[in-house]
Amino acid sequence: MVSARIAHAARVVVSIAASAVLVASAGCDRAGHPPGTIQVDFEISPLSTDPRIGTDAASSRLNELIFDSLMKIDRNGEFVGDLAERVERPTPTEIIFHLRREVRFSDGRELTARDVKYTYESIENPELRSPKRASLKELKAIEAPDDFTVVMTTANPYAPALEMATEGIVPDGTPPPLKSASAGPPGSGPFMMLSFTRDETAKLERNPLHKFEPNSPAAILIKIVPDATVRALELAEGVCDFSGNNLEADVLPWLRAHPFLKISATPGTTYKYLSFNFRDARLRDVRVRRAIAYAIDRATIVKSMLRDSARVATGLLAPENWAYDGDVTAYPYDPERSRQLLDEAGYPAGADGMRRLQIDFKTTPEGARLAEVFQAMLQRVGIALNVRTVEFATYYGEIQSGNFEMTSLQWIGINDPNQYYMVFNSTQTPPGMNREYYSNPALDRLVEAGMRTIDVDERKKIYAQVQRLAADDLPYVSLWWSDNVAVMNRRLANFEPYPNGSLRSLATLTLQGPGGAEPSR
Amino acid sequence: MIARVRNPSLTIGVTIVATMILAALLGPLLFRTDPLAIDLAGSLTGPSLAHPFGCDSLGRDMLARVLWGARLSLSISTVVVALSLVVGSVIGGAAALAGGRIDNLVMRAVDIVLAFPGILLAIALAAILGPGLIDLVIALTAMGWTGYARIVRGEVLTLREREYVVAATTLGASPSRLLTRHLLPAVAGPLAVQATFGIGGIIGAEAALSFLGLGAMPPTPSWGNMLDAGRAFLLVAPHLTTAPGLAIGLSILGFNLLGDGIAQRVGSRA
Repeated sequence: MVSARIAHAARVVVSIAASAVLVASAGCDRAGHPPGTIQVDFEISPLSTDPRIGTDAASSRLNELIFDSLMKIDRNGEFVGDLAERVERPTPTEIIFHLRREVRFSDGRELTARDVKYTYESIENPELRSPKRASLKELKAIEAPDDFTVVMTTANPYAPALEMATEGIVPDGTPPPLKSASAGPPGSGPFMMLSFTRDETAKLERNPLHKFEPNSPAAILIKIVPDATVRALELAEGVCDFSGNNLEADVLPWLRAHPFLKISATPGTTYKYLSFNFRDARLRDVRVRRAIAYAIDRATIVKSMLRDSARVATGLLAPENWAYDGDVTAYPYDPERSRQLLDEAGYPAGADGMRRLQIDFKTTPEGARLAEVFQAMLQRVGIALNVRTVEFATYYGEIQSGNFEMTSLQWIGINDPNQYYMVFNSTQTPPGMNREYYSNPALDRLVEAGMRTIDVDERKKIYAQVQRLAADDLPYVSLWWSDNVAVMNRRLANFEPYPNGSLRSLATLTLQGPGGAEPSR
Repeated sequence: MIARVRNPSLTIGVTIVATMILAALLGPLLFRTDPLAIDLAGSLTGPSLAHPFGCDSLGRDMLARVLWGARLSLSISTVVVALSLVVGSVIGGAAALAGGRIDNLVMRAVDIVLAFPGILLAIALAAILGPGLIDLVIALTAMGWTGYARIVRGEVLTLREREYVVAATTLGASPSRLLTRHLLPAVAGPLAVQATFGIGGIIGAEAALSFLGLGAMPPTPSWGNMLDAGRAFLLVAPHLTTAPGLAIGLSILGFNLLGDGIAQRVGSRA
């Protein structure tokens, strides 16, 4: 009774404090949004408004709404034409894109093959210093024989070539972005950018030259709200209309209790994994990695901590991927097996059950909670995990240069199985994405073959072997595929989730009521 | 009885601080729940008989964590204050005794350190040294020693001119006798006040640094990192932030009241 009263009093205090935070931080209320405007909260700021530069998830989400690309990935993870209305592959090294007519940039210019050619050549130009340059390494030439035909040529057969066709197209002659650039170049997508203030807001308005459905959002205000609690409060107060993949699973029941909010939870492709540095002799021993895999109780973490908002993973490719093969070695929770493997690897348990095996685990403040779970689970089998928390920029820098012993990260938007080449091939060490310095000649051969084979059935067979080999040798310990969880105001109808978390659907959903109904309390 | 009425700060301060010290020393012995034991199934559960303060997001007992956090908080602040006291007193005393340019130089150095907001200096140092308890102690000491240096230097300078000290010197009192019989009793009061306030301040600073991820590393329970970890669950589990928040608030209040009470005591005697 008393404790219930105290708990109630505490909740009152918290909600007062929380609304004070909200009033202080929001500064814009429902009345401040013009009709037809929806507010979308991001947890982190997009790094670039130039689609040739931004590779971070926030930039991709934003730029997809503003720029068109030759091809885009649909809700089934398949390539469909965006600017291209027809694609031909006459030889294994050549792709011809036939462009749609009457496509205009938001400044009125017509989009032609020249703009496409320019976009790709400027990404390849070292002066732009684009991180996307590496992903176009296989592209030998891009030609524009006429205004509505683009021909891409690769030096060798390159199976994932269509991935290169997903770059956002900017107008011919767009200069490299200025350091202080606010709004980026004009695009031909559904929205245009009115203003952008890093770490604060991005204001988007309909591109009048792009067709759109009646009652779809007229404008989008993207607000950067780093604190998860404030994001939840903004949804609950009706200030924010949409928040995707950035809320704690534990807060979802609380949000669900608000009648004017709805939650869309669908299986996702975001892949979370444990990563090991192979320059460390202890971690190079596959028995140690297997012992770690058996010691992590992934099923319980997914159930209790993630509240079932993820699926235990078997590899990089989620079951929805055409090349997925789940018939691989699984590592169910088995601490006894784990201890045996560690004994075999030459790390006998001491009197207190601990072994001479201390591993540094780097993470960010947001990752600390998960790190503590791993720490506790590994301690049960005698491994001491020293958790080192550093803020994101430092952390990411150190991981990208391969300066870590063990960590946990995620890949967002895996589509083509060639991802296996990019992360595990021994030629892809930093600045490439094989930050683990993993090297396995058998796997190297397979992923290279997979990259050079165009025939889909052949590729499928190759990647089935790749998935089996990776699950046996464990360059990564697979953790889970996170669901796509979006919480939105009920006035947003017909939202369609994408497995890769894309927010393209913000352009096509419909708003109910004139300018949206007020949240009913 | 009368003294209590006259000096309520001292009474309340002593009560809070004594309770805290007892809780830190005996709590973990009496309430024998492992503060590190993870039970994911019990994550975020509210207060119950088995877990009077509830459980955190990993199902760890909050009461056990608060009690162990008290140990960490108290021992770090005691160590930091003791170190600051020794370092500050030695530097301040030496400067006063040396006098002249050395004194000037040392005191300008003190001014420079004081010119930085203390907590910013500690954050900068902790960021450079990296997270960890020893680095935390160094960072907090670097922020805390100047106050003691000023007090000791001031007292030594005034004492040197006092007639009874001059008399003692003339009578051939040895420097060590001067130090123990005359200097120490004179500085003890102000130093005690400064140190008591200092402990309160350091508890807050330690919590702030741990909150920012620059202090105690997980899984070590510290009030600051508990507060940080609980922040994400403010809406669904307010007990995660209430418990360590109250502990921080109460203990700082206790030490400040105690310092206040001592100041009144010392002041009324002088």
